[in-house]
Amino acid sequence: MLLKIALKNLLGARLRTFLNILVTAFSFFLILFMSAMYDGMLQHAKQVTMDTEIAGGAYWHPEYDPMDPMTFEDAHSALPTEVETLVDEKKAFPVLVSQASIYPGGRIMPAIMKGIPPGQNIVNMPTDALFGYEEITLPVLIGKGMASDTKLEVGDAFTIRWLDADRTYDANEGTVVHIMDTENFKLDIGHIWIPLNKAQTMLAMEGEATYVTYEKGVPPVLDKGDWIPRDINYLVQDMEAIIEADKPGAQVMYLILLALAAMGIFNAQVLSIFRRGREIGTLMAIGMTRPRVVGLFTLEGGLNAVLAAVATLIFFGPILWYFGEFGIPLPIDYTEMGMIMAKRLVPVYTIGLVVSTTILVSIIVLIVSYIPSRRIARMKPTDALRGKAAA
Amino acid sequence: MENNGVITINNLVKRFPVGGDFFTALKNIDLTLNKGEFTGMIGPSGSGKTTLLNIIGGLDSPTEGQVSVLGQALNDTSHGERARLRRKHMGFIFQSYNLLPVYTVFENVELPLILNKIDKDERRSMVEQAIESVGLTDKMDSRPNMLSGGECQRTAIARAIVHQPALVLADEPTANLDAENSHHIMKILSNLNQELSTSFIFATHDEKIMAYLRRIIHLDDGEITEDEIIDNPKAHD
Ligand SMILES: Nc1ncnc2c1ncn2[C@@H]1O[C@H](COP(=O)(O)OP(=O)(O)OP(=O)(O)O)[C@@H](O)[C@H]1O
Ligand SMILES: [Mg+2]
Repeated sequence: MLLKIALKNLLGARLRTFLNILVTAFSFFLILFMSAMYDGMLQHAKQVTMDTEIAGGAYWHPEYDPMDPMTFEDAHSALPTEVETLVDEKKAFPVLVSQASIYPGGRIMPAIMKGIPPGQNIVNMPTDALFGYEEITLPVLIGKGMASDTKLEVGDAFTIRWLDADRTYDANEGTVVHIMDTENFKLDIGHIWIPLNKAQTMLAMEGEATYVTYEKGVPPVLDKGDWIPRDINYLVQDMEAIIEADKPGAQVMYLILLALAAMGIFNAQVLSIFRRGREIGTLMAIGMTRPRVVGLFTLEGGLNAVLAAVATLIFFGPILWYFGEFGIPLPIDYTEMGMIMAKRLVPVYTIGLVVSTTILVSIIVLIVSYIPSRRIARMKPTDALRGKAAA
Repeated sequence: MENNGVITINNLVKRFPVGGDFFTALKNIDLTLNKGEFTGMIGPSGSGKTTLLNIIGGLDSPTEGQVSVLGQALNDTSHGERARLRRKHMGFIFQSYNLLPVYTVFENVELPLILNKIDKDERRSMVEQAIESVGLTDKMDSRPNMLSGGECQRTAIARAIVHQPALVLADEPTANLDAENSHHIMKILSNLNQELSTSFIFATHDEKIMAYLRRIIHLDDGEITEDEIIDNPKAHD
């Protein structure tokens, strides 16, 4: 019965209801959209990392710690037999990591030099660009970010200096053969990529590697020596950590939006109770009990949220769909800021997101509908009838 | 007669807090109203008419004294019980109509029946009958903002009587109406009074209403100064 009256009140007050609902729907939309963008960003970053870097997982030399370049010096050995077999079967590829100094345009810069088999097709990297340069002693592949840091262009040569296995410095001239446009800044910033066999020769580490990346779906090997298996979950950890570090920011945003939505409804509710004092008095005079009047107004507020959800679908649904389908072009290249960002950001709407947003917004709406309505319970009907709503 | 006592008031005093002090709006009120009465309270502005009606309707509570309405001692009832008493057995008519603006005439009149949980079919026929008795059948689907003052008040009357209450409280029901509309409405009300023996109490200073009353209670400065029984109301000549 209350529901019917509440619905009638809402639908009867056409413009007022429409405006309330529009405001709520807009916040609803923003919350959904922001969260979906965030989720989309996450998923994209994960996808890109898996695609270009992690593949199915890796085996690491026990000394290897990617965060600590000082470990690179010792992090190399021949591959454990079964891992070697995977490589032979082209289900995996080895990478040899070392520290180097490069001298682009006369400057000196530290770099991580990675030797990679040019023929690999397990991760999405244009390594085949390293193929077939007989005349060039050392073909080098770098990313766009690195290219702009070093001001190197395709065809430019620069000096590379490294410490070989005998701990003596050696130098050679590398030539940029390709500049890759990757979304994964971890392959780009501070990296130079060279053919694996050249790296092994230069470093005097024939047949050795630092880690081996294998393709998806390869079962774990038994004989991995003292090498450490690193599965996808482990390898996305640092990426997830970056994202987690970002989370408080996203949550603050989320809270601000929720607060905005809540304030809109709260305001509408307070106004409506003030303006409808006479109506409240009349309902009491006709014999509605105070708890029921409170219930009625709370319900009206709550129905606002339901209608707002519907309105969101109708008014903003197409926009949400459009972005979900075509993404949003980003004007800035975030690669250089050390973030994995798509050129077009595609928001991802998960059921979980929609359901949790709906539940959260509904609870908040009920609370902000109830709090102002509660003052009705303290209202004297005689005051209400005279249009005096303030208790 | 106890059975016929629609309203019994003993030693009623009503004081309002004003600033740090009190204002006495009603004092020494003793009053009995019987079933089927058509009674008016008249008196100058501020004499306490509305206050007394509100107390009778259980919308306000007395400071001292006993008030018993339709067999219930209001002093001992809860908010909820008083709401129930109004819902089932009372009707209110206000000077400013107090129709719900977003409802049609039909829906306004229907509201008390919805609160009384009367089922749909019965509701419809009761609403139609009430609207017919005030002559608004052709305006049933209009909203209050499309009605004249007289039509609004007739809607309010239909709403006050649709559930066939034992007692109707009307606070200056004709104050906003012209002479013709006032007479029209008083005729409707006095017919209802005669047909259903519904008791009516008016608060008014409108001469036109007085012509229909069969009992006039004079209030002045919160006290009853005179209680007139009129055997032969002028309007019935
Ligand atoms: N809530 C209140 N607080 C303080 N004083 C009040 C309150 N309600 C009424 N009064 C005072 O009580 C007195 C009686 O008021 P009431 O409204 O009953 O008069 P009335 O006879 O209905 O007058 P009118 O003919 O103008 O409607 C007035 O002086 C009024 O100011
Ligand atoms: Mg008055």
